[in-house]
Amino acid sequence: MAAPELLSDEGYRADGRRPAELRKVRARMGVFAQADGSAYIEQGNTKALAVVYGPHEMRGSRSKALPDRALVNCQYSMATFSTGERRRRPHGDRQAGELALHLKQTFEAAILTHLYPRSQIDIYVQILQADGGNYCACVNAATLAVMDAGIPMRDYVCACSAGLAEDTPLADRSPEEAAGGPRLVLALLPASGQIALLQLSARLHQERLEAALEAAGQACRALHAVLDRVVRDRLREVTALLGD
Amino acid sequence: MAAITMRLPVARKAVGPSASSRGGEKHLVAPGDTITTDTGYMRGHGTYVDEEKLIASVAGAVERVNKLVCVKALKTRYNGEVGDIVVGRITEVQQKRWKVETNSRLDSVLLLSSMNLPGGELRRRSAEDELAMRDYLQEGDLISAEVQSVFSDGAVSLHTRSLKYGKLGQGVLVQVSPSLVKRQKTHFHDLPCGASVILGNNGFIWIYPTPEQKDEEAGGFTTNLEPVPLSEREVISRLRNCIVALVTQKLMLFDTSILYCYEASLPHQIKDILKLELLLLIPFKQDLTCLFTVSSVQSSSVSRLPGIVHRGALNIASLQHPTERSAHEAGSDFIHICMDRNSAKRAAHSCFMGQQPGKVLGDQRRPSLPALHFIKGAGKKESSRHGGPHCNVFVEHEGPKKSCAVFSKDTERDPM
Amino acid sequence: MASVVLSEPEKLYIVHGVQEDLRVDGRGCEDYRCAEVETDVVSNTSGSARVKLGHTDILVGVKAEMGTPKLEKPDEGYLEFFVDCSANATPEFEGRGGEELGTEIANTLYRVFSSESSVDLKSLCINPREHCWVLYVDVLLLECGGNLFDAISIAVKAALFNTRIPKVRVLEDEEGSKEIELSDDPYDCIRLNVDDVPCIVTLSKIGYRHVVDATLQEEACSLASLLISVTSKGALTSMKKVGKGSLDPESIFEMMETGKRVGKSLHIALQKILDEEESLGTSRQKVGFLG
Repeated sequence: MAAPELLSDEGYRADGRRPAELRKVRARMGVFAQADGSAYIEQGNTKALAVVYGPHEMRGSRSKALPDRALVNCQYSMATFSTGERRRRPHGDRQAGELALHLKQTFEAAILTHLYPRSQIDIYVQILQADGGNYCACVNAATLAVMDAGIPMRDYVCACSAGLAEDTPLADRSPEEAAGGPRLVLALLPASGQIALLQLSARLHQERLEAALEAAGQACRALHAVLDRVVRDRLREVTALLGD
Repeated sequence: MAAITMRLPVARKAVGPSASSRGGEKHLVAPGDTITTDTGYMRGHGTYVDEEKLIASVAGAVERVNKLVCVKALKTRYNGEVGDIVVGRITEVQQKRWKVETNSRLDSVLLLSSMNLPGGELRRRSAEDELAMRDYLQEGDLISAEVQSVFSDGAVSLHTRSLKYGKLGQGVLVQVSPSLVKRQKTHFHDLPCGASVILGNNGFIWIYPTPEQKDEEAGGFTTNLEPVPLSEREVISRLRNCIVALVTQKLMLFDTSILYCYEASLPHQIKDILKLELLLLIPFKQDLTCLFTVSSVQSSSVSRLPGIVHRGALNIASLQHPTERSAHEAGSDFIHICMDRNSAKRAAHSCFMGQQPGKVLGDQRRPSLPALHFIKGAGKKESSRHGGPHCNVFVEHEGPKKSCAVFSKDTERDPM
Repeated sequence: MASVVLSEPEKLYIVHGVQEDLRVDGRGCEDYRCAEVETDVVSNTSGSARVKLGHTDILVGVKAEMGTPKLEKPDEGYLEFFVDCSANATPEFEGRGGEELGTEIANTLYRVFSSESSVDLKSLCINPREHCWVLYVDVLLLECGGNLFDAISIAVKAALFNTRIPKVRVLEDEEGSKEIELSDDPYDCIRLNVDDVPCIVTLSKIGYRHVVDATLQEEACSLASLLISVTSKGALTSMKKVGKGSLDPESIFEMMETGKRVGKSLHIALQKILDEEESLGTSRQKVGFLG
């Protein structure tokens, strides 16, 4: 039975967190000087890097340029040393392709692409250390990177995963908790409450869905607060330097 | 003899809460923040309207001009505006035009008809001109041009209709963010140190040796391919490093700031300028009055004082409010600077504004000082606090609002 | 390779500058840019290092896994190299765009480490013919600012210095079958001796002279380069000429001499910084990408 292991009698999870508590988040914007926008995030032991190039002229086939909006192009890649067991290929497998598509979908919902017709925006995400919540860390890192590049967005995109232990929803699942049980990944635009991506795997009773969604939503909002602080610190740092 | 330096990474110092007082009067927003719910405002760049609320779409500072509200992002690609000077690189030669890369979201366009002919001829471009396009501008060439118009999708159309624009010859290109290049009346500067610089609005900075004959402006049709003498090369390399240093510290780029940085870096070797140990503060010229008056003359209002002036001012007295008062309104503000006598002989060149105990203001305690400083003796980490060979500036200030002019008033008495 | 396009006068300016020993950023022909080295950046690995050389950013992770020794070398472990040119560096590396460059660099690393004395492979053996340690050295190219080979070799050396391989005991039971027991103590590990690990020095020929640590712009002006791997004692372990131009034998010998000289100083500087980092011990504040 998964439940007794996930949540102790006092209500603590395997790593000592409370059910709704997130892992420690540390982030930094502007990691690389040559890219238009870049960001790095650490969620617990998961480390993700995101780099944004653009908006720029379409490379490759000009015919793919969209006449009324920008094309968002994403790539998700995991370093070969990121997982416990060494990976053979960093990207190109089906999982990376699927996650790249999800990223594209998420950010097309958030970026105001109609402002950049015929342009292309590239978002490249790299996982340096995978310890659960990879996709969520990528989304959060990509949000910061897009903001660093000065590309207009509707809102932050905060992603978080959630699971269930009996009736208690757990936010930000670590890899030990990830095995078994329903998994919910949610990408949210906090200010408006709009959902950009929703993914549910394994069986979940309909009545429990709302609770799980609510927990994931709360976690996303908590994450939004943390990311907001990072962005504002950066803003303060740079405007202070610019003086003007 | 090879010189190889390696070092361990330094943790970035967090911006202290005291900095928020400076940032506080600037309304900083992030995407999703509601700026205002008042429907009377017009929305500008960086905002969008959702259900009668004006919401920010980029992370930056809000700028309000009368009824127009826009948010200026910290770093963006270049957005062309008519009349801007840009430096661009040719990426493609098409049928009747060239495609120019200008660090903007779409490649810019230089039409054949917008290009000036040799000698300033005025005639209709013929088929031979079309075939000869590659003879004049090829892929990879650099040009300086002016923005003629902006297309509806944001692409920029350039022209080189004056003899001062055209193909660029020997020199060095530095690419920076467009938001760091200050808008000025002229972007072509002949610096007194012996080189010339073009500050493109798109963030491409071109440093080149000053051509001898100033009267004969060929419009770029003839390129001087003779080797540049060593002395000019040193000037150009030094300028390039100074610009990179200014950019790393996020200071605005304009001719005065580059010049001051250049002069401050003179005692050091060119290749040492970019070493992190030296990149802490720039010593301001002793004659700070000159600095302020020059800058106040250049700018139309005190509130728009050039970056480096703000730097020194902010550092000394955390002048944060771009005040509307004129430069000559003194009020009861009083800023007084005392210099440490020990370093009198070095003071001619190297006064630096440091964090000093005493009645210094707000973000003086901010560890990440905004200006650059060259500590004498590369590699020797002498702490200024221990009375090293630097002159320390103690700043006392009274009164909540300070204006830069007040500061200059006090430097009239010789601080050395 | 990610490259920049330069105009002819710009190239000429760079070439003339090199002739006079004053490069665009004020360096001499034998000067390196300031490098930043940090080890133990990624924790899922046995050893890792990050090197920033100007705008070039490299991350190397070393994973030690148990495998079977190669048939021709039954009592030695071995190293496997993999280079990933990620799209972070430049959009050209998206998808399979970076594979060509990655295989070229990996092959160069294989050649550099092919010499017997670089790494003590016998220490990686657990059970001859049956078990040995395989060190998977994975290089991740994050930002490309010229001079990739040098930065990668510095990072590989730093990562190997940082590698900690757990000690194993081979238990033999009655039937003669062997069992491997991993030591429980995480600090009980073997370190590799990296004194003889070579570093690559790239010498790019520009005009009539050659430079080390070329930036992207300088690489665009150079038609031919010589890659030399040098150990800390000044011994050459491999040499390779790259580029579409040709070199005459005299320049090759000159470049070799310069390479040896520069290589020795490189090793001294790197060892000094690694020792300094080691001496800080647990009080070292890990910066990683947050700095």
